[in-house]
Amino acid sequence: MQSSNPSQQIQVDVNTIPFHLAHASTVEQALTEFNAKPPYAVLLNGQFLPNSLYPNTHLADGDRLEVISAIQGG
Amino acid sequence: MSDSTRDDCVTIYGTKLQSRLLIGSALYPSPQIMKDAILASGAQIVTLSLSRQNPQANGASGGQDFWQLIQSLGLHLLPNTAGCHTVNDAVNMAQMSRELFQTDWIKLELVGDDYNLQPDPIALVKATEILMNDGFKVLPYCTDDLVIARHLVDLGCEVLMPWGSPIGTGKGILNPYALQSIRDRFPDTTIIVDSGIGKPSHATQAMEMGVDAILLNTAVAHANQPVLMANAFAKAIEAGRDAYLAGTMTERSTASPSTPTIDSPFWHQNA
Repeated sequence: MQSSNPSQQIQVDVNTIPFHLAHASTVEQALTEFNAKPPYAVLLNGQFLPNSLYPNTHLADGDRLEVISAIQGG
Repeated sequence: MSDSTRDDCVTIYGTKLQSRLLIGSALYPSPQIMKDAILASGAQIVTLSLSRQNPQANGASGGQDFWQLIQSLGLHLLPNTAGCHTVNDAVNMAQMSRELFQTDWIKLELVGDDYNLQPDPIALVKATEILMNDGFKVLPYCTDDLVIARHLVDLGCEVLMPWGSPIGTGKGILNPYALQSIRDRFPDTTIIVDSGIGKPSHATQAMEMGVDAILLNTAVAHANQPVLMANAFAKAIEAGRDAYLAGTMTERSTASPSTPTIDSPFWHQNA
């Protein structure tokens, strides 16, 4: 989500990929920008974030999001 | 299977299952072979895990093909916390798994040493306590240490998953005494041997000892013919269970003839 005013941007790492988002973007907006494919779960700065909180959780510069999905396991 | 064992079930936190084989979904040569092997095993529980999603690298599906395939099997899901080294990581992974897979079952793995992937017993107990208090039904992957097993049972674990030997080694039951001690000490706890089983005979041995079930992955996935091996394990586990229920004979140090010898044509009374 690009902004015309760099001062209004924050940088957030989503699965280690840097994204520049508008100030106070929500987790939900970041997931859209990342093109996350459901189903997934999310860590925000290493802590589980329930999906009910995506729309109202605002991101800050330097936050780290992890988008996690199912893989093979033993 | 005899009539007496037909209704014999294994219980996972109140869920009764006919199959005593749990199967992993990793390491197969292809998704189709994975699916065929899981079906051939007759397993009703399949394990899976979590990883970072990469929509760009995995095409339009976002890497969700695996998830759709697993869902199509219609089995119970048992997510694990593989790769976690700390209590915090394991708790967070469990919470993500519960939300994603809609199950409160969690196979709790906490690595204490990367050399043999041995579970960290102290962190395991701490994480188990946190998760049990949070409503999870924890299936802890543990060593065959009786005292750690005691702590886990005291925390409310209805299932224990001791190793036979380290993950992926295929060495079988390295310490039968320790495993038997856990079985005997916790007769009301479901005991699932979780790792180290390499051959169907290993699985039979464990089942003859009275454990309730076996979790397999590498032994099936790395066989030359995984589907055939899955079928072999299913038979071996069933044979071991039937043998346990039937009760094995008492081992003796001296020979005892199976054919009656008295009055045989060449019978004579030894002095």
